[in-house]
Parts: sequence; C-alpha cells; structure tokens
Amino acid sequence: MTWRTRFLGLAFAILLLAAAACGGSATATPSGSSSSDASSDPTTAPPAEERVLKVAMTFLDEPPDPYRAGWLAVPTGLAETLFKQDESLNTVPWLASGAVQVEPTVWEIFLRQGVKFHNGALMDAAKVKGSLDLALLRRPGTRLLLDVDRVEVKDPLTVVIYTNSPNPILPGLLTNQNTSIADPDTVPASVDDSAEFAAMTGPYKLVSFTADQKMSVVAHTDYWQGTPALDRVEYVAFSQSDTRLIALQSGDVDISINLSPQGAVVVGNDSSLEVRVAAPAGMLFMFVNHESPAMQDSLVRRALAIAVDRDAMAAGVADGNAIPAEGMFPPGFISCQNAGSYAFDPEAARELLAEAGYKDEDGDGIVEKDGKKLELVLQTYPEQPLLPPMLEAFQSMLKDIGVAAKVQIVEWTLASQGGYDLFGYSNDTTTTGDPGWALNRQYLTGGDENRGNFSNSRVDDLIGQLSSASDPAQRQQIACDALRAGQDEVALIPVMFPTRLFGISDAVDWTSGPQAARLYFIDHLIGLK
Amino acid sequence: MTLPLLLLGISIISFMLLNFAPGDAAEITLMRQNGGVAPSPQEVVELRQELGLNDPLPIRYGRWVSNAVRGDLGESYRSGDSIANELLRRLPATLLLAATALALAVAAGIPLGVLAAVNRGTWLDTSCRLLALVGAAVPSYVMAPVLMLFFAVKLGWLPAVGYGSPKNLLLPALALSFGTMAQLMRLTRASVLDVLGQDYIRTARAKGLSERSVVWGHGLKSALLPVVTVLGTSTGFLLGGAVIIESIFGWPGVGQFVIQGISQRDYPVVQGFVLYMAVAFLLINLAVDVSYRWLDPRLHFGGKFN
Repeated sequence: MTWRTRFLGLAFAILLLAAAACGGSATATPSGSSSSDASSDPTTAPPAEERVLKVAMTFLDEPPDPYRAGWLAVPTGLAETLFKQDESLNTVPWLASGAVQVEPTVWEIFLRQGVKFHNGALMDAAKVKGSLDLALLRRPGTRLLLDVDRVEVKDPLTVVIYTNSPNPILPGLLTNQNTSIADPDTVPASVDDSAEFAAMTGPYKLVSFTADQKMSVVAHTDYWQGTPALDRVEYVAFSQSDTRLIALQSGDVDISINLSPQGAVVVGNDSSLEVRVAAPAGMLFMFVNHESPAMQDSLVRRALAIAVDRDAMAAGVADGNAIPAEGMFPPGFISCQNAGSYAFDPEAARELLAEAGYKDEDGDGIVEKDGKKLELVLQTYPEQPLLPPMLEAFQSMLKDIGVAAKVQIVEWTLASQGGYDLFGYSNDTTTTGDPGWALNRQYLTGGDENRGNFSNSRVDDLIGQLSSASDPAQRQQIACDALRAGQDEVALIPVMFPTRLFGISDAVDWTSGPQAARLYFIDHLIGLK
Repeated sequence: MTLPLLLLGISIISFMLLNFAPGDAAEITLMRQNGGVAPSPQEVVELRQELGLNDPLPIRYGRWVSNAVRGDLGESYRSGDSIANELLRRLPATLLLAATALALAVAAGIPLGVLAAVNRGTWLDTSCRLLALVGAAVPSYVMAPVLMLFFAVKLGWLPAVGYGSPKNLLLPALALSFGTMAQLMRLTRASVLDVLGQDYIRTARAKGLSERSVVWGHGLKSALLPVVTVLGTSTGFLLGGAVIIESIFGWPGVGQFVIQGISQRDYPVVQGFVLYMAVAFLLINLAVDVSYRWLDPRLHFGGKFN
C-alpha cells in the first residue's frame, strides 16, 4: 500500500465518520420524546395547506412540564392557569370564572364551564383539585409560594383552597406558571417522570420535544376559546440573540423573541419585517448595599438616586426601548407610581453630598470626607445585556457629581453577598398583579429579593398591614405608603423599565400581542396572513 | 498508566475550579424554574441539601470519581437527566460537525498549501497567504455570523440555522473549519517549500520525472509529517471550537448543552464535558502517534530509525 493510498484511506475514514454521524440525526432525538417528527429540519417546507408558524425561542432546554417548566408550557400555548394577568397586569380569571375570599384563610374558586383538556376530558373541580395537589407535590417551590393547607371540592365547578395563613392575594399567586392545570389522570405516577405529555387545556398540544433543538405543537381543536388560527407551531432554540435575528432575516423563522435593541434597529430597517414591543413588566435598577459604610448616609443615597439621568439611560443604553423608572412599578400598575420622584438633578446631588460632609479638598474632581475619597464599587451581571452598559453610563454620571466608581461584572447571585455599594439588577415587579408581592420581596426586612439588606420598621409595618388587607382600594393605599416610605429611604435605585422586543415577518397576523406579562405569548388568535 | 493519571489530574483541577467559581448552582437552577423570579432562601437551602452541595469538596469529588469510573457521570441539576446519556445523545451531531470541518480543512488547506509552495511568489501564492492570514486572524465566532449574513440572508442559498440536512451542515462546518484550514495551508506551504529544496527532490527531477510526480508523489509525502501532527491537535480544537459554533447556529450537539451547563452552574454537566474533552484529546494524540508509523515506515516506536 503506497502512502497515497493510506492518506486517501484516512480521508475516506473521516468522511465515513461524517456520514455515520449524519445518519445519527435520528438518534439525536431524546428518549423522552414521545414521537419523532416528520423532519428534523426547521427549514423544511410544510405541506401547502398546513398553517405553520416557526418561532425562534431563547431556550428549549427542559420539556414543558406544566408543574416544573410552566415558563415554557404557558407561553407556548400548551398550559393555562386558573388566573392570569391582563394588559394592565391586573389579575383576572382565566380557567377560573371568579373567586371569593370567604374567610381570611379560605378561598372559593369558581371554574369555567366547558373547558376541555387535550385528551377531550372536561375540566371540573375534581380534576382541578387533583392538578393543584400534583403541582404542590411535584415542586417544593410551588408549595412554598402558595402556602396551601389543602384543596377541597365543593361542587363540580367550585374548589375551596385553605391556606395556612391569611392570604388576600391567592388569585394573584395562582397566575404562577407552575400552577398550570392538567388532567391529573394523564400525569405520570412517579414524581421523577416529567409531565410534558399530560393533557393540558391550552390552544395547542405537544407533539414532540427535543431538548435544545425544537418543539412541535399542533392545534387543540376543542379549545374552549375557539379553534386556534394555526395548525402547527414549530419552536427552535437559539440562545444567541444575533442568531435569532439572522434566522428571522433569512426567513428560517417567522418570529424571533427577545431581540436586542440593536437587533430591533436592524429589523426596523427591513421592509419585510416588523418590530413588536411588549409593554414593560419589570425594571432595571440598582440594589443599594445598606451595610456598606458609604451607603449608611441617606443623603448620599439620595444624591446617587438623583444623579441618574434616566432619560439618557432609556434613550442611549436601551436605544429608546425602555421607559425611565423613578419607582418600582411600571406605568399603570399602581396609582401612586413614581411617588418618590428621583428627578435627575446633578446640582442638587452635589449639594446633598456637600451636606453629607463630602467636599473636593484636593481638587482632583472626587469628593472626600475625613480624608477618604468617595469611591464606589458597582457590580452587575452580563445575562441581562443592558445592565453592564447601564452601570458604565452611571459611572460617568457619578463622575459628574464628584464620585469615583469602578464597574465589576460578576455572577448575579453575588448580589446577596455584599462586596459592593450598588448592584445593577433586573426584576419583574408585577408578578401576581399585586404590588404587595414585590414590596414583600424587595422592601421587607429579610425579604427574598431584598439583596441589599434594606431594613426600615415603618416599611415593615406597612407591608405587614398588607397581609391582612383584602379590600383592593385599601391595599393600593397601604402599598403606596410603603412604596413612598421605602423610596424616602432610597431602599433601591430604579433606573428604567425595559420593553421586550419581538421581531416578526410580515406574514404573521398577531393582533392579540405581544402582551405585557412576560408569561404570555402564543394564544389561539395568532396566525398567518 | 499515564492516561488514567492524566484524566485524574484534569478532573481534580476542573472540579476545584468549578467549585471555587462564584455563584450558587441551587439558586440559579431555582431562578430558572421560577421563570426568572428569585427563589426563597428556604427553597435554596432545600435544593442545596438535595443536590449534596453542602458536603465538603473532597467528599463531593470522591463521590463523583467513584461514579465516573463506573460510567456514571451524574445527573444534570437542571433536567435531572443522565449526563453520560445526554453527552452520548448529542455526540453524533458534534462529531458530524467536527469531522466535516476537518474534512473541509484538509481538502482545502493541504492542496492550497502545495499550490502556494509550487507557485511561490505568484499571485496564487499571495492569494493563498492572504487567505491564510484572514483565517488565522478572524475567529470562528466572527466568521459564523458573517457567513450566515452573506449566504443565508444576502444570497439566500443556504439556511442560516437548522439541523438534519447537508445544507444545514455547510455553514457551521465552514465557519468552524476556516481557522484550521488556514493553519494547514500555511504549514503545508512551508513544509513543501522546505522539502522541495532537498537533494532527493533534485535527484527525482534529474531522473526526468514530471514536476507533478515530483511534487505530489515525492515531496508531499515527506512534507505531510508535521502537517499530521498539527492535524491531531487541530481535531481536538475543532471539537472544542464546535461548542461555540453550535451555540451560534443552534446546532444540537454537545456545545449547546455545555454552554447552558456553564451559565446555569450545572457542575455535573461541565465536569462530564471536561472529562469527554480530555479523553478525546488524549485519544487523538495517541492516534497521531500511531499514524506516524503508518505514514512513514522508517519510524519505529522506541526511537529507532531504519
């Protein structure tokens, strides 16, 4: 055998390996998939008469289990909850038709008639009780969130939920994606088995799921709100926003979610594409580390809060795809939004610093107190792409008022571990549709999301009052008082409410969206022209 | 004996580095499950306990090693799936991509390198060197969107994304192969130039052999030895580089799995991937050593030359 024959043999072996691997596409389907799809290529053209929508998602890394991965099952139109958030982010009935708090710890939930699961079974109180019991059993987080003692059936269309403590916002909590309703008889008996193929109630039902690759759903023709406008929806996953953008530009998909602001500009310049903007549901802000020596003085905290040029942030950092935020809640969510008003005023900020004893003694542009320069550590994480540039912009705004700062990009969980003065962060504040939920987590001493360790007895007292107030007007008033009290102390520094950006092709007929709440995306109305 | 020791060393280092990296796997996992809402401290404590993250590092490492030697790489924190099964399931797609990229790099890089050497100083040589320069300077993650924009968006010839047909394979394989192709081209050119100046080539020419026979038949054979060495390391880098390319193209290989494992602090996934890469590198290097003997019969193991 000559060396050339050997070399050709080597090349042939490589090509053989490639061919073998090529044939392995079928084996790339996970064992968890219930069925293989007609084609594993999202670009393959469907039959002409079939109305198929192709959507680029960010992640498809776990199956759409209604109890553990409601974050995927609800937005893709597979699962629904008893209550949902409307366009104003208020809680409204969905699979439920209403609810009454009969006692501080007892809620009666009335169910909608005529709702059918994907398997054709009718939804009734027994099924809903079974589903809620499974939701509590299969995910500890749901148990902690709802704090439910037991669920009982009162009549075929009424379930009674007993909570362990007074809970005036239970319907809001039942908007949580992991309280989705599924036919309990179709859920695997073992809690270790994923329940993505359980019969749910949404306008689409799952056909196949391949982790990190694609998911296919078909119309649920017995859907309670009417026949879905599409026959099939194909989801593909691209974690990179640039890939989602290019897939949209090349026509490989019809909708790309979570465009970057820069990507939105590109889409806006393409006549065959369109940018759709969802109203903001959360905020970008900075945790104040209330244990940091520099942050002990409320005058300094206020100076920093009014040193933020929020208009410039929204226009520059977010390319206009954000709304300036002076309070915790986006516009329309609460009657007293922006109650604290941190209007941009660098001159007033300098005066506040002077009042706090900070002066530029050595003329280097940075203020000092007792010979120590005011130098701050600003930390944030890269997963929310607007946060690092937001802090860099703030760094230069701080310099303008004589405060030095260094920006550090770190892991987001470090927000709970101190080591910073301000920490750039992103949070949904409108989940559950009630302001008490976010106040409880972010302002209350020891709250789950109170990562800067803010503590104020008046705020704690007001938030405590919220847990027993059930009248909506009274709740709004108490929430406003708590919000104001927290803002007076500069519990945290709000910056902007980012909008969510969708790129769609001109073939898509989407009059029903996008919706403000992050959880809702594909409904029975979205279709193709 | 060296192989297991190397693997042990690599696994210890990667395990330590992973666990010293900031970030709480339990908190990140729960945040994801909660749809972006931070979990309560009690939830975090419960999951840490469940995942065994509260145990001392040596105990956790010992547990991992004792399972790994039995082929059990543990379960993903996110999905609960077996890491070994997940890696095996995704491996064909990664191998397909890396093998195709390697084939493209070899098919283009070596002939172009020879042509550049034979036509030294001509426009062909200059063009090849320019191409090699671009290939060496432009990383694959930059090349990938450029290729996507040009071939998928501008020309519409190829799909930008997708998996399952040869058309889907071409762009990611091209993006991945470009750097390796440039490296092979430069090395082949230099190696062939070196060989063409040697006495036995002059003798071949003096015998009246055609230039084609001299270059492709006699010169290239000797020139390929250093190329094969580089080919071995390049194969390892192609497997590693596939991680980034897969993430950009949404290619359902090991890469997507690992990138998400890293961002979610899914330690067993990352640890399993490191072990897989270490084994791949070691086996490839072994294969390269064996191929020396195969390509050049003068070479014998034990350092003895005939």
